[in-house]
Amino acid sequence: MPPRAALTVANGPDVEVLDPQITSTTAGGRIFSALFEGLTRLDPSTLEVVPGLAESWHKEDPSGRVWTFTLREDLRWSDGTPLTVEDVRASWERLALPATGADYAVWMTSAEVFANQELRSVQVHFPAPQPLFDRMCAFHALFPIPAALRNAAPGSTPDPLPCSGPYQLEERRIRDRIRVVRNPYSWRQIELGFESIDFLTLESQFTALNLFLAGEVWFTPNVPDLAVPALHREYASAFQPRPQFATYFLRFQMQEGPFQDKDLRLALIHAIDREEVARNLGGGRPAASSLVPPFTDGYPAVGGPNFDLGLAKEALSRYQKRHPEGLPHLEYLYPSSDFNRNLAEVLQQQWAANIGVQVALANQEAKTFFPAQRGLEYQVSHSSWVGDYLDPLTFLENFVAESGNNRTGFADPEYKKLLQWAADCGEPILRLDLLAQAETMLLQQAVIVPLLLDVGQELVAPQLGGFTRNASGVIDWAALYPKALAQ
Amino acid sequence: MKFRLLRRIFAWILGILLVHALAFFMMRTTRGGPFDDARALDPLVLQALEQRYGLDQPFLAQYGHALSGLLRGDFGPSLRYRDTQVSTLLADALPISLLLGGGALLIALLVGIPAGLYTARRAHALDGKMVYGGGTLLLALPNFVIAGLLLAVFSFQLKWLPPAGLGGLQNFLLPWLCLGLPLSAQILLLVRSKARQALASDAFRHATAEGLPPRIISRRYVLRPSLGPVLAFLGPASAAILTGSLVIEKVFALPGLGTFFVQAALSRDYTLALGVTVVYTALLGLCTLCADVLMARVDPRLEALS
Repeated sequence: MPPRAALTVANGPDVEVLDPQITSTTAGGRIFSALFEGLTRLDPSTLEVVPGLAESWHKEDPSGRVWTFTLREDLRWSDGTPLTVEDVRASWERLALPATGADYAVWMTSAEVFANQELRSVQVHFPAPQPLFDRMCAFHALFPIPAALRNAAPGSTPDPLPCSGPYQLEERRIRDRIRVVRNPYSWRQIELGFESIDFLTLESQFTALNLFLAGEVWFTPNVPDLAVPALHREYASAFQPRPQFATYFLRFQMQEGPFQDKDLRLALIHAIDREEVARNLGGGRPAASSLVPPFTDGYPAVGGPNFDLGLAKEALSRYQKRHPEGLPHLEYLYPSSDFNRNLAEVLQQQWAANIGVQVALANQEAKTFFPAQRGLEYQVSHSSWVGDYLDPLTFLENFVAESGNNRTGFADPEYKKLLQWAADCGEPILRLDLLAQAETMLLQQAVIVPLLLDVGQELVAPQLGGFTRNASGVIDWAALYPKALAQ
Repeated sequence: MKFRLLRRIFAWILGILLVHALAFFMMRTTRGGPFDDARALDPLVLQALEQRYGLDQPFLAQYGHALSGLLRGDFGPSLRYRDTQVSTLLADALPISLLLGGGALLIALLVGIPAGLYTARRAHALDGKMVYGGGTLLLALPNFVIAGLLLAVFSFQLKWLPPAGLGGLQNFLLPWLCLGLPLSAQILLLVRSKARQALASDAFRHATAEGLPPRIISRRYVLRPSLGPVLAFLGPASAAILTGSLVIEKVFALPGLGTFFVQAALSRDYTLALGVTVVYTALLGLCTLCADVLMARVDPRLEALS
């Protein structure tokens, strides 16, 4: 075993494929942001789009159908070879190829990319407006990747892996660790930072917590909910959970079955006391009254049916008048996990206590759950979504009829029209307003029920300087430094 | 003897093939595939992926492919770790599992046999009863509870040993104890009951009366008869270690085979799950085979019977 890295962090589950186009987990995102860089980056304190590999960029038209990026001068991969506009073009084309098998292929399938070597510029044309493409470029699926990775045979990894980020890959041991060391060719100069970082694979949050408490790791991305009260008490400076751009919510299956009836949906929604749910579950996740977390500047506050026992009972009696035969068997489906089970039990208890409706609980392991949810083989089900970029669209686009992430049977042409108008709209404030109308429609029609915001539960050792908590879990590895050294 | 051994080896290979086939069909009839995730894949992308991994082919053709891979010792690329071959993953994980399991077995034997003999000799004394009671208690504790206790004492109170991770041998000490101690308790009980019988036997009394040196009496008339059940127990013990290591590997973040076993099945990583199942089956068969051969050596009557 080589000697310890200058910084050791817990990184959660394994990064399955060391390819930013293929792995889309948050654990993968943390590693990719050390090894690679996008044309743009997000400032970890403001989450604003700042220059990355591109020194500048602009929309050619107000709606964002055409974007032009200009790369910095003399960019290089970590093996010293030039990083060119051609790399950008080829990477984006590879992302779109079905054979690549990328989760985010759809971002680029209809795009045309043109590279100009002399001007160091890349121009990308979309048939529909992409007003946030500069923000999307900060997400690792759109990072330029080296030719060695683009052309790697399936089932193999290039060795060495040319990198573009502040760090480069030194060693990868599956389910043990990924070690990165400084990339001498990065355009960013690290002054105080760490020479090397070990990202430990730790499936168990308890193990990660043990390592943190023993001082073996200086950062862990999340903690077991059970430990939250004690951490608040004893590690208040290291543990400051804050809401993330991610929501827990319920989906109703509206195509057939009992929840075709809006009154039954409303009865259940009005009977949920979100504040009580949040308190009951612990872990510090706040109640959410909208699907889109409230972090986008200029996005109006959106609301739908809330906790109101009077309205719940009214809705239920309307339903019962139409269905004098009584309530059918109702079932809540969730993917197996401790947290999901606790959430399910709290909801079940509230429905029974508040309006006397018995809902059976059923769980399936994730790989069974998702096809079942997609196939509408459920009545009401647990759901969650993590925003890919800080914009309401990353939540709302899921609920157009043809999206594979809709999974409710909701297919209102008005909804799609609102999203379309928002896309065509060049005026940012108006665009957000249209999106808010779409979300209101989603909530008012009782398609989904927002429940809780997810929280970032990072534990950060007091010795680790330069760490900024934010709503997207963005970490600037090059900005981290050991505090002792700085003093 | 040779013929019987060949027959056993043949049965072992047949067993591997059978388990491989069973695992293949059970896994493939389970709902959900490797690419079913929270985020829906574009249908064209899904199709391309299924094509690349041959998942679009008829069931039997896929089985034939998996079988020919098994015979060549090539399980193909993992479906979860898509840039890595299953054989690479197994080759990396197997030594860690063997080190973990081997050490645990050694601890089980080194603690269990002497403790068993001791408690047999001092069955009516207080210290003997205490050791016996301790063994019974250990037997009742699941290994993750033992892990929690050991961590609290050795990692957090005394700060002697790292709480997890893959460093040097010191990282293996606690996992060895967690896996080995419950087994040592079982061995203690086995040895104790056999040794008590031996101590009360005519042969033992006769040998004592003959005035043979105590060391020879102990070895020949107490230790040797007591070891029979221990050897017979080695087969099930290896199984217990293999399955017990699932939890222990996770708690101590050791990248052995155990965590792969569960994860591969949960993530529908068909190729990796098959690979791990085959390696486990082979290991288990091999351990049982070795235990049987050793038993025949120690007690020739068994061979005459079989």
